[in-house]
Amino acid sequence: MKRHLVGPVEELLPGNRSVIDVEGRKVGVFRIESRYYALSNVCPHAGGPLCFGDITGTTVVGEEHYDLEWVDSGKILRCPWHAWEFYLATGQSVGDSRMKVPTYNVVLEDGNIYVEV
Amino acid sequence: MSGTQVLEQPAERQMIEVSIVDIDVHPSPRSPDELRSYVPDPWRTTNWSNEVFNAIGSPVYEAPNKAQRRDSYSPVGGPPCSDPVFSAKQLFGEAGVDYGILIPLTVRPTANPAHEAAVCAATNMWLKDTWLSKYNKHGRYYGALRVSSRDTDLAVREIEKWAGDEHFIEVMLNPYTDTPAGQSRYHPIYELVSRLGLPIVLHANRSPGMRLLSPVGFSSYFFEHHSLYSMMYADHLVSLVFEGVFEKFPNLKVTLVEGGFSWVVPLAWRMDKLWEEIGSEVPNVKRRPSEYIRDHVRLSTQPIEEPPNRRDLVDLWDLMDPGQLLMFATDYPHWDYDAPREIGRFPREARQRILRDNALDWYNLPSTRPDVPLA
Repeated sequence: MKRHLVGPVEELLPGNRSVIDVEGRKVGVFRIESRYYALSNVCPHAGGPLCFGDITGTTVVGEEHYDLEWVDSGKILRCPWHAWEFYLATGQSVGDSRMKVPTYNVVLEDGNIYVEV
Repeated sequence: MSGTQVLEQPAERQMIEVSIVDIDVHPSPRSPDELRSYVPDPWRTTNWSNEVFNAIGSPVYEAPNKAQRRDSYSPVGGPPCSDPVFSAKQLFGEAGVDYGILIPLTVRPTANPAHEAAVCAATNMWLKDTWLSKYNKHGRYYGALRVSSRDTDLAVREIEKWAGDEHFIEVMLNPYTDTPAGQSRYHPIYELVSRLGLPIVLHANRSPGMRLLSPVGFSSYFFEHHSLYSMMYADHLVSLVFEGVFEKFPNLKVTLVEGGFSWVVPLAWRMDKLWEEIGSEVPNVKRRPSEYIRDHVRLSTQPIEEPPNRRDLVDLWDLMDPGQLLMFATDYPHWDYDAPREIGRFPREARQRILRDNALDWYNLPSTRPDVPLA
């Protein structure tokens, strides 16, 4: 595993992302509120550029038929192509337990963001 | 001018082999006003909302990702597939498409057929001025002519107006109608397009109101609506076959775009069985329904079907040959886009036919194109 510079912390504002090239592999680095995440940019479903998708939440059912709850807001990345959803923190697909996106460690050091790939 | 200048002849353009034809691309005007400027009066000046141009967004069913590939918005602004430079980068560059057939979804069916026909006419003029000429220096775009499916006379007039145009290579009927596609109301249209050698294309084009109604009522969710596209296409297909349309118009070709495809096999089993056993209800039908489908109908591969066991998609096709019946489509820039790699799901020997040969034959397109730089 090697550490790769993403850029200075102050250049990645909360709510933003940066998609970088790491030795030919595209990696998306996200800063959502106070947390950082890094995921592969290749959606395991159909190869879409996952890290250009929206940050969203998802729905779960409540007690009654039409009771819907909106949960995990800000924790889910939705692929820009077919809207597949993945947890930013784990890369796990929301809908398909067999699907997972590779995730990477993000390290902050001396005012810089690094990703370990 | 000083001295003698030798004018160089432009170098002969290198021709390259076409390998991917995409039969479903959806261009948009940069703004509703761009399209409105083409609408004939009184429809332009009267105060119609811009919603009449928006046949994708819907207050009834909302598609995921607002129906668009979220990475298809150009940095210069505007809706997806409104900037020819950015779209060419994604479609021709990243996806590797050679020809794109443009199906503009800029006509939301309206209550008044004349109004709908006016928006169709505007769409055709707009498409011809922009994507089929100004944006088409490379010659890689062709288009579907929009006509109203609700008034046959108006549709015929619009087709006649453009007859012989090199870029409009098929005629789109909105499949959200109140009359199945095989019935006699449409026959003057079929007579004309058969004579002109233009296929009819049916493409989902969400309409508000009663036409969203399924036979069992209104669905709650977009997923229901989307899953049921196939049913709407099936309704039209059985009508075309059992009304004997392909006997009456032996040159008629019908392209079904964005309705899925695997459904056609079990449907054809059922149709063949009925026809073989008790065909007397439909004496106009002289051949097995599956034979008409094979000879007169093509389906787009998009949205590709994704059974968990990939083999199932192939095993289904014992009655029909997917390499004969299917044509590749991306549906760019929409959310349920398929990249060409999805065709890897089909047997090797069918792939080139699906990606290229079938569409070249169906639309009579040149198999090589000039190697013109995109920018």
